[in-house]
Amino acid sequence: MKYLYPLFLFTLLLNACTAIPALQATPSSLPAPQEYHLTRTLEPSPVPSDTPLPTALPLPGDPEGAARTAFGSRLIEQISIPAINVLAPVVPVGWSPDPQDPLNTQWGTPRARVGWALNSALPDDPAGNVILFGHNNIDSSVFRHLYRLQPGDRIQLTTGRGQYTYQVNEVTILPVQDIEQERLIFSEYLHPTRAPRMTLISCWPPTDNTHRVIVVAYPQIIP
Amino acid sequence: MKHSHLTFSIMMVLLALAPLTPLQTLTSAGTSAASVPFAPGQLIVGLMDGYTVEMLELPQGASISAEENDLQTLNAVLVNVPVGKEETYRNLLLQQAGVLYAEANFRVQALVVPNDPLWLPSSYTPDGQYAPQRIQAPSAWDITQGSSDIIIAVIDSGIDSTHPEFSGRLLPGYDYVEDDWIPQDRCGHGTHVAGIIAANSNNAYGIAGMDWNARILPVRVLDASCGGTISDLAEGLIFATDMGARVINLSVGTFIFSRLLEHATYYAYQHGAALFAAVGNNGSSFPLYPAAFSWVMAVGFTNQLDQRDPRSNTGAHLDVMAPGVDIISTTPMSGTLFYSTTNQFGLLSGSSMATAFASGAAGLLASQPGFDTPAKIYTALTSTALDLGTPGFDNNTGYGLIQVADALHSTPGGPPPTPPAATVEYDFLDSNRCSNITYQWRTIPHNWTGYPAGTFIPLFGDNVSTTITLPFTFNFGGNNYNNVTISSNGYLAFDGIGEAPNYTQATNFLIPLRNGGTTYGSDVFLAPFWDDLKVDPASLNPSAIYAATLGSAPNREFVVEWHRVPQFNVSSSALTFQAILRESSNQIIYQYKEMNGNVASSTIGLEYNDGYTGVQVAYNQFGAVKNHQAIHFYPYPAGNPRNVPPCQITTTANSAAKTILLTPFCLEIPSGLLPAAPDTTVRMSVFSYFPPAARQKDVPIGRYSEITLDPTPRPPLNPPPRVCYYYTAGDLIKAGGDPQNLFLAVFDSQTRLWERLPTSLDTANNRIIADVPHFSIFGVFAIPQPESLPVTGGKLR
Repeated sequence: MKYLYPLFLFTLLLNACTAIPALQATPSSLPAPQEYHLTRTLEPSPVPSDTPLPTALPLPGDPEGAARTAFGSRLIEQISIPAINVLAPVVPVGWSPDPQDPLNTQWGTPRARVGWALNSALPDDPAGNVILFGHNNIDSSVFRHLYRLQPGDRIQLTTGRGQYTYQVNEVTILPVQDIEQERLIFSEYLHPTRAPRMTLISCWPPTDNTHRVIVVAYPQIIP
Repeated sequence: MKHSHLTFSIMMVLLALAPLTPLQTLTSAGTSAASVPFAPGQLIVGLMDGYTVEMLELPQGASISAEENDLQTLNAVLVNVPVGKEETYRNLLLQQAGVLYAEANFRVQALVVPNDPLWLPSSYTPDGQYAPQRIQAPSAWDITQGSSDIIIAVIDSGIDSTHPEFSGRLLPGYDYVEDDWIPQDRCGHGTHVAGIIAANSNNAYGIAGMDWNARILPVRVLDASCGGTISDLAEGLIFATDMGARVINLSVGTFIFSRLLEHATYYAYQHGAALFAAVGNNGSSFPLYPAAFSWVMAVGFTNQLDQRDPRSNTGAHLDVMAPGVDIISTTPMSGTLFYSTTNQFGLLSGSSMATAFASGAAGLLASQPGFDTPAKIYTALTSTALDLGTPGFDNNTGYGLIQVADALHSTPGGPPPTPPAATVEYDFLDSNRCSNITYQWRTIPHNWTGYPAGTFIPLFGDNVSTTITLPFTFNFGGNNYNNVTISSNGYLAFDGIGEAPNYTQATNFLIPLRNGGTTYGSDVFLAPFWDDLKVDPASLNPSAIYAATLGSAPNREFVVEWHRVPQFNVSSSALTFQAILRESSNQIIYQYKEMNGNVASSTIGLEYNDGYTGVQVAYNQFGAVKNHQAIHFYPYPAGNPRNVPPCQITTTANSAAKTILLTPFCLEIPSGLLPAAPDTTVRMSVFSYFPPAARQKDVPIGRYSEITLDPTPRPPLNPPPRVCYYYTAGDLIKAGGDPQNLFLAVFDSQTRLWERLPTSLDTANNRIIADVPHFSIFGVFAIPQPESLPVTGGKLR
């Protein structure tokens, strides 16, 4: 290849990885093949039926309940990242109006669990961005060591229907300089994708939140 | 494509905000530029679903490029912006509603190790072509020499079509550099790569290619300096996929992570193309794209001794190795080009060459019946590779050196195929709900002459079916069909799978359920009333199936009628219903005339896309269809909003309070708003598509209602009427799981913007309610997700 990536990338990766022993990717065994049922459609019929809606049971008003109603066993139950000793439950997380600014919104918190952005993709979607985030030092530190991941490390997601293995492609640490920059540029990581992908997000360094660590992983296609 | 001398110092992978700076001139063979060049004055903009190029509000100074439009398949577009202001305009575009991504049109490069190409007359000796022997090609050729049914696309610098080694093998390709149909090689790289894959063999001339029969699709995306842009590469991928390529060779790469390239390669993979890309030649372990995408096989290169060349890139994304040092292959017949200093034949080295060996091997595999998906080809190559270096997979040599004969001998296996993406979706409207959908029975003659001379479909008894020729080509679920299988059990199949001893379609199932050729039968069907039915034309109370064509081209209708068909073992039942296939519009209508004895045991709907996609109107639902009911299905391109006719009702109201329900909307007219007499006519319609206003970032839920009153009461409306919307769990997902994020809005036809209405929440009834300021179109929206990443940490003291 003719071009080298900029030198400061090296610096970033080194920052992220200094003093961390090199972790060898450990190929895990392939999960048993799952019968595939397409369940992308949230509602079975495109136009609501004449079911007398006013007497329907109230829908859950919380993100977790709404996601359970909409997706059932397709939801991610657990994430396993052996390389950094993460084995954690996953909870759907959404957003709510910002009390200070009702026209804007803020993300909910997954607390000690790992949050799945409930408008992002699920592992059995044919394409799309599975977005997961976890705390690094407040409430919990489940994603405290996310920055230690290296390309090739495996990540397993378990849903009510099976296990899905992803392979880390890139680990990036981004400095948070100002809100505007974050709003414009970083939000691209939250956008849907037209190919299958997983994005893990946390803060960095472990004792602060001056940076974001972003891990991009792709589903494992070759066992 | 012009070669840029600018560089984009912002790499997408970094997103660091450094100013755009012109850097040093890039020599075409240079290897040390600290940044990646891009096409000046161009940005690639990807749009979200439901947004089209026309809706894009371009910042001043930007314009849609006239030159590229093949990216529309991926809902992306090339935008011209002032040269030098790419970063500024990227930020401006990212602020537009509907913009999914915006990225510079970075350049990709051919992945040859710069070398001193030699003309070696001795190259006709076995020593000259060592590489095929290192990967078992001779014994592979005893099994297969490839098939002319297989198309291998070489997306590269083009091919010299005058080279005798490609005689009779080239398909008409395309040149995305010059935008014409002559993909002539002006760099020398593509001809070399194509020769490795498929030079004519056993012809007493030149070299032997890996695949002796496959047809080569030349797609030119690299210019005379052997570089090209990501947009041309993406267009080439779409073109090759749409031309039916089973193998795509990508001996190109860039360190830039491009969302367009991610999408374009996945599009090809999902449509059945095995992709092979060069891993890179600078000894780096940093991911190089497209090789680093998991659905693309990344190929590194070895030497004559099966050792990894130290320049071959490493990393977890590396999959297999193939020879790539001093490879003899074809070069253009004349001229001195960048990678062709000798004509006809020459030597080149690099992962480009290794990739070509892997692609040729894949062509041989694809010609064998079992290796029918990219994943099976990948698995065959990785599972049989000759392990090099550290035992098992390692970052330096991947799974090892490919062994083509072993791969051909392996049992096809691997992960289940990625489900195909539906290209068409269906929405339906029901006459029981929408007054604009009318029941209009198509009367066809009933006679005992067999179809097509008469109308009788010769089916007798239980679980029987027959296949007939359609009077016109009918497109269902994105595929054209000329035949249909009619079953006694109340369905029409397009995949030829009807009732047979091996199938048990008497039992109806939920839609969609992919059967994949197992005993549960068809995966592509229309089910007006799929149940265990029985036809008995000879009984005292005859039941039969008839078919006929009505109207004239291009608006014909093909009607299949199940006439007085009883349910199995329910002697009292006699069901008469029909399915109508409409020419040109490809709409489908189910109509129900007499559903006597209709018990709750049927599936009504349709299924397609190999059984992965479908619409279920009802499943074992009591009273799902009634006498004199019609259900209309409308196709629309998948991924787009449901742009189909609205569902309408018309009713009247007066001074009394009245609630009009057209789910999921309701209108509450308070007492005293309207005059006691004459009656006011209320028209209400529900629809799912309205072009989003480009300036508004609120998330459309995709539910709209137009409400008109005749005569119209004059604002201010007092007491105010109220509009309500019953939300679903799916709506809550779009609204971040919190119904407080949902709101109703009214369309302002003056500003063409949605005006947000103060919305209250009635969680007990799953609805949101707002006062109506004036009658117009009402829509449901959600406050969008936060634009910032979630904050997951704080400063610890």
